[in-house]
Amino acid sequence: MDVSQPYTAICPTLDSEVLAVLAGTTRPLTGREVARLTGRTSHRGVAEVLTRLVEHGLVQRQEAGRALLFTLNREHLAAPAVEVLAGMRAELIRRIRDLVSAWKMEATHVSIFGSTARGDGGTQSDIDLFVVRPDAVSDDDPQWRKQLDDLAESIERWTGNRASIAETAGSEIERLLKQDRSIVAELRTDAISVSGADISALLDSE
Amino acid sequence: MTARAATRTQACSEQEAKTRLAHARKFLEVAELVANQGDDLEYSSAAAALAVLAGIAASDAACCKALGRRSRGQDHRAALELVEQVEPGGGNASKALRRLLTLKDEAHYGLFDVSGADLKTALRQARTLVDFGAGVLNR
Repeated sequence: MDVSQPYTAICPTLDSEVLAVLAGTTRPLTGREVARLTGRTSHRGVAEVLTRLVEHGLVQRQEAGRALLFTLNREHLAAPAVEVLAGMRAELIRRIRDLVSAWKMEATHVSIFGSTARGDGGTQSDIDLFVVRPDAVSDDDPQWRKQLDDLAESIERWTGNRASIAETAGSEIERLLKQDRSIVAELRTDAISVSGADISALLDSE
Repeated sequence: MTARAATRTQACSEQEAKTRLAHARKFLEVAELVANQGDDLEYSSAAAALAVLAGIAASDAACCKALGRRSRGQDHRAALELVEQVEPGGGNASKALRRLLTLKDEAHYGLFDVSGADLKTALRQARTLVDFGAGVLNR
């Protein structure tokens, strides 16, 4: 799936982007506000989509002075489907968090980084994970390796994207900080912590 | 229908949402550090003040991302109305923010001596809001 816009797996048009914006708020928005929140510079395409969605009853339109305001009609039969589509990225993070929290051999830290964390990937993007192994666990421990393999396979089944796991031991973080500044910079800027210490606290403690 | 309080809000971008969330995380991190320094009233009051700042910054982040607007300056009611409009979870976030802002209001009357129990509550509300803000940015 496109990790920046997972809903395009089902609806690969501007409609899904507009619906994802409207699903994110109960605040009535102008067409221009919807366009800005989708990241579009052109308002015309968004206006056409809104008109069509109003015809289907999935979006409600009201007048406020000279402006037209739009909201998602959350009582529409299709509204729950829209909410599921709009929440796919959050659902991916929740599933990863749930799976990692059930590990018998607890990780010191797990985070998502790279394009998935930044929200700018595509269908070919790997889903990058940073995993810190406790020093007491050997890197070839069968139970530990199975956990990582299961995580990678699950992510691929959930998304169609390959999971790429960068793994290090707790005692190697200091060396990583000195040697691989690009991954450290990415971790500091964008990583989403899913288990263990917050990423910035972990990096700053070294 | 919720009233649009346009004059009490200002436009903001997704980049600002990321910046405000980074602020919120740092405020909360420092709040927790200070809270662990000791039981002195000065420490707990300073930690609570930072927790309030964390909550406000996290709410701003969520609003910038979902609504493209955040509240202006000191207008608490606008801030509560706005964050309540974020879906899903805006209702709970608004309640957490309301409790933090009550603490902040008390500070204006020189009542910002925060007990251990109040500090724990403030840190919990701030954590709720930081997690909420992160969740909105991760949608």
